[in-house]
Amino acid sequence: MATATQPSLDFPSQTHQGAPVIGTSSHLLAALRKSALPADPPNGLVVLSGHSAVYRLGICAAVDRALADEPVLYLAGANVFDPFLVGRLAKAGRVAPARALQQIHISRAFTCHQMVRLVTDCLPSALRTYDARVVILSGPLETLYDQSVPEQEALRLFRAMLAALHHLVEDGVQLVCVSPLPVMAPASRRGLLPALRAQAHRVIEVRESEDGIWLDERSGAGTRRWSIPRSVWTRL
Amino acid sequence: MAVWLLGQDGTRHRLLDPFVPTCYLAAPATLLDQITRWLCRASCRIDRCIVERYELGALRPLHVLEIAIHSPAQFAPLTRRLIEAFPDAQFFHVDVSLPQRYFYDRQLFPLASCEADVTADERILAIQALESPWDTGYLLPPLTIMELSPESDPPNPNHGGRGALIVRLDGEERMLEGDNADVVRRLHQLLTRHDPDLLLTDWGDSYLLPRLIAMAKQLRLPLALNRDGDRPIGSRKAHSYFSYSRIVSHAGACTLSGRLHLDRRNSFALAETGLAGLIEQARVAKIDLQQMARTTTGTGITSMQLETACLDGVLIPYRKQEPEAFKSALELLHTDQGGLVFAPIIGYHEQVGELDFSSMYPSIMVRFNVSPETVNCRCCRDEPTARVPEIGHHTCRHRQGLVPRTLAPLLDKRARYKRLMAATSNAAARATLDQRQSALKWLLVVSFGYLGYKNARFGRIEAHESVTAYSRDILLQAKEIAERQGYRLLHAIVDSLWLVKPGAGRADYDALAQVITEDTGLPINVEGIYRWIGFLPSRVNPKMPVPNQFVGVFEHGGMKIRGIELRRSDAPMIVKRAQAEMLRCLGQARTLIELRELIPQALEIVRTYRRYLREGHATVEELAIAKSLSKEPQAYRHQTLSMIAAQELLARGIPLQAGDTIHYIMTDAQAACPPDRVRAVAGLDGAWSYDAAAYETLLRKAALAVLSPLGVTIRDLQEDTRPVNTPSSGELPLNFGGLKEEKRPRRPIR
Amino acid sequence: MGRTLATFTQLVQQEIDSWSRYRRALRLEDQQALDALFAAARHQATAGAYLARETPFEVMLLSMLIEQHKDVMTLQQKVTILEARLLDNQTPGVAS
Repeated sequence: MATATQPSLDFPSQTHQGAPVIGTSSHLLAALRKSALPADPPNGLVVLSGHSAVYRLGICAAVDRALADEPVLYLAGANVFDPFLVGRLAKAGRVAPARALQQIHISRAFTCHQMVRLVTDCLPSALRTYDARVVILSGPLETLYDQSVPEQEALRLFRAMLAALHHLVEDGVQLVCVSPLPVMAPASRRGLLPALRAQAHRVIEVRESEDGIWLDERSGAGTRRWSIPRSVWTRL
Repeated sequence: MAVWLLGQDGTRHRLLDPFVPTCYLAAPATLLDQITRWLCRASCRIDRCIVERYELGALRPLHVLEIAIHSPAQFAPLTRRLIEAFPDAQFFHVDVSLPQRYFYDRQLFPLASCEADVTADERILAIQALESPWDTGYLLPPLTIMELSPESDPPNPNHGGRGALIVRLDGEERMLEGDNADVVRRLHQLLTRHDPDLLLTDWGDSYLLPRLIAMAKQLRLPLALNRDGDRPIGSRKAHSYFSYSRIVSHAGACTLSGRLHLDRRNSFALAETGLAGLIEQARVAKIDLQQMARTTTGTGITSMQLETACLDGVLIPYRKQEPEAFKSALELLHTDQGGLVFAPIIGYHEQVGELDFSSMYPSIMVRFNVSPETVNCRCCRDEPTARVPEIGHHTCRHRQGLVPRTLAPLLDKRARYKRLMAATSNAAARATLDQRQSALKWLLVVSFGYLGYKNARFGRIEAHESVTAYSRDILLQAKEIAERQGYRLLHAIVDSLWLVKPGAGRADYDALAQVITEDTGLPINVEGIYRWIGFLPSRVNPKMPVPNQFVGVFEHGGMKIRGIELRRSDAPMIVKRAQAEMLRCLGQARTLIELRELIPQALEIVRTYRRYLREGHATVEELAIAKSLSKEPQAYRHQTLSMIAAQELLARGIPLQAGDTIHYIMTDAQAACPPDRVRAVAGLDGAWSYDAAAYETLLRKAALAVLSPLGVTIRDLQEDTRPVNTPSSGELPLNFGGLKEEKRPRRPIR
Repeated sequence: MGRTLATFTQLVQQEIDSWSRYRRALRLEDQQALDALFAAARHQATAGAYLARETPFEVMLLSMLIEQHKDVMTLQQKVTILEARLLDNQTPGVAS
């Protein structure tokens, strides 16, 4: 198995229930769960930022919970979602794709006003409706980069969003933000991502290299890193 | 509000109508106190009271503060400051343009015939329209029109070129020449003497008017462009900005007071539907003509919805905030689809009928009551007839929605225009009716996009999804009905079907349309019967069909052409002309057999054009290639031909922005040094030559696009003497029933 | 509002990309056969999109089979016609 030959890997050879590893994609989900995105107990706000691979990691995180029959809320701020990736991961995990897809509940926001309304007003009631405790925010900042929204307005909305996220964490919700680098952002709004990261309980940087995707987490205890070999990543 | 009326005696009146616009806001009590105190400090008279109003689709009313501002000029700055000061309050009715609000409130519309009670000091006491915007037989006021254009007809005068100013009045043409002072003086004279109601210009917005105004200012000469001398000329500079990963660009504008300025080169509505169409849109949308000419058709349809909301007393939110309701990923998989497209069966076919659903999407919205507030209503959840096919949504069976209520009269008016067109034999009247119905068609076309548009006031994703779900189901129903009757589906795009059945004629297709209309409840018409139609393959992969790319000849001899060079704005004139001539030649064929017999003639036309190119006769106009810049010219990373031409213009100090169209000629497309490859048309001087081989390639591609499904190859085009080897009959040696042979290489079995 | 999900044509392209190593190691004539199969999958993009199944590869396989079956039917018809002609030519005593 490709993962076994990489010394820097923190991939388990068994899932946490002690079941044998079924395939590389399941392996990846297990590894994400064990290291980067443990949901039990909740980690507060986790931010994965960097390479655009973060979007897929966000979907992987959602699928991992869905495969465990847990409802997940997925907020799409950059119009990104891939049900076919969910389908492949579910099949690899020997779960009917439709069943996994039914556990993931999506809402798309196309303007920053919608995005903030979604986080501040719609999310709390949706968490109750679906009895969910895991939320994936995919591209939460992308709509705030729109130049037709005045600077002050964007900053005000951003602050409102941060406050709402803070409340959710206090209520024990596991929040995972996946945010690519702000390449499309006006220069004056590039600071939003660092500001979001400053609020996070855990920050994981995602980079791409020739051999695959690297996840780095710097904390007081030093740097932890995981790698996803290209062979696994491209076959997801 | 200043209102300009044209009296029956021909006099022009500037009247004042005391109009008091209102806006609304909702906020918690403490915030409301602060807002009230803030409003007390305003410099103009403001009335306030708490009223009950409904948001669209809300079951319970909202208590909102109604703010009536007695000085319309103060409305925009005041509301803007209010929003800045209290961003946490919810605002309504704040950003609808006041002329529109005035039209809604007084039940008026642009160029309406009306009656007014007026005081001696020209104030309006009462005003009312004497006609309805839904009348089809209206007369226009006798407008005095003055036309202004640059002398030469450059592709874009801002990219270079100069000359005299042409003025046309009452069919008379004057050329204003001389120094700047002469031109300004003569124009001022003409304006004051004739006092036109409408200035119709070419390049008035970006070139003529800004230049004339600057010249007059510099020379300190009067120039009475505005009829209302007290008001400044409205000007907006060209600009573009980045919004949601794409460039949005706006051309500049010069708008007048008391007189209308329309720029033919800066108006989608004028270009598509003519003056009659623009006026039709302005009347039904209740948007001032100058605004309507320069705005998107979407603003027109939005205005109609806003009027419906205003009349119903529904609050118009300042910014749409309602996101999509949560749905499962499985539901998303089924709902996130567009209309259905069946790729065409490549090749030429005989006796093909085209059936089109008329205004399919808006008709669906009206027939199935699809509107933001009717989709997934609380009252009809368990009603089987309310269910949207395939997806889990339903629409309300009890209350008609805002969008269908707005669209129904529009659909009805367009149908009436079409009936009038069919009944009239007067060509001029027909042309006007056609422009008007086409103006309404554009409003209907965009109405669907606005249902899903992120910034639409009354848009909602679920409504958008419902419309496409209905459209898929209805297109499949139509396909099934046709197939049951023995027709074969050659091609279909969302609301149009191309069908064929051996021996079927006009009456059969009409009967089929009748059955489909009855079964689906949506009107479908026979667009026409083609003697023959060729669905053309992809240029990259000749086996790959391309939707909506075809040439066809109707029974009445007219041609319908889609997707090829002739229809593309970026193909040079000479290529378009060659293709048009070739198609005119092929268009004489009544059958596929005759079509094949005409191939040698068509090839001869291509060769004639090739000789013309090679011998160096082609002119700038014939060779110019127009390309629109998809991003800022500085942002291009590759040395594309259009980028090189853009760089040339930039180097000469000509400002360019994303969205601008530039024109260039290929001078040496393969040159090692990029600046040698092309030249911008605007900068051409005496010494230039063109790259005949590069144009020949374009010519060849344009010819093969049409001829390759008939078996013509590059070799046939190149060989001047040898006649093309084509089958002598239109039929293949063997006829294999239902399976068309055109998509496979011809290899007859012997 | 743009579409969120990949279109069926895009899914076919993704599938083609995922087989690129396999394709590289095929002989030229086999590569051409593989390309024809994926072209057949794209040919039924409308039906594939309308079905909207979460595992699109099986939909592609069935689309390939449809085109294969149509080709077989065409060949069968041609053979039938040729057989009939052959039989006509062999029948003695028939004036042509």
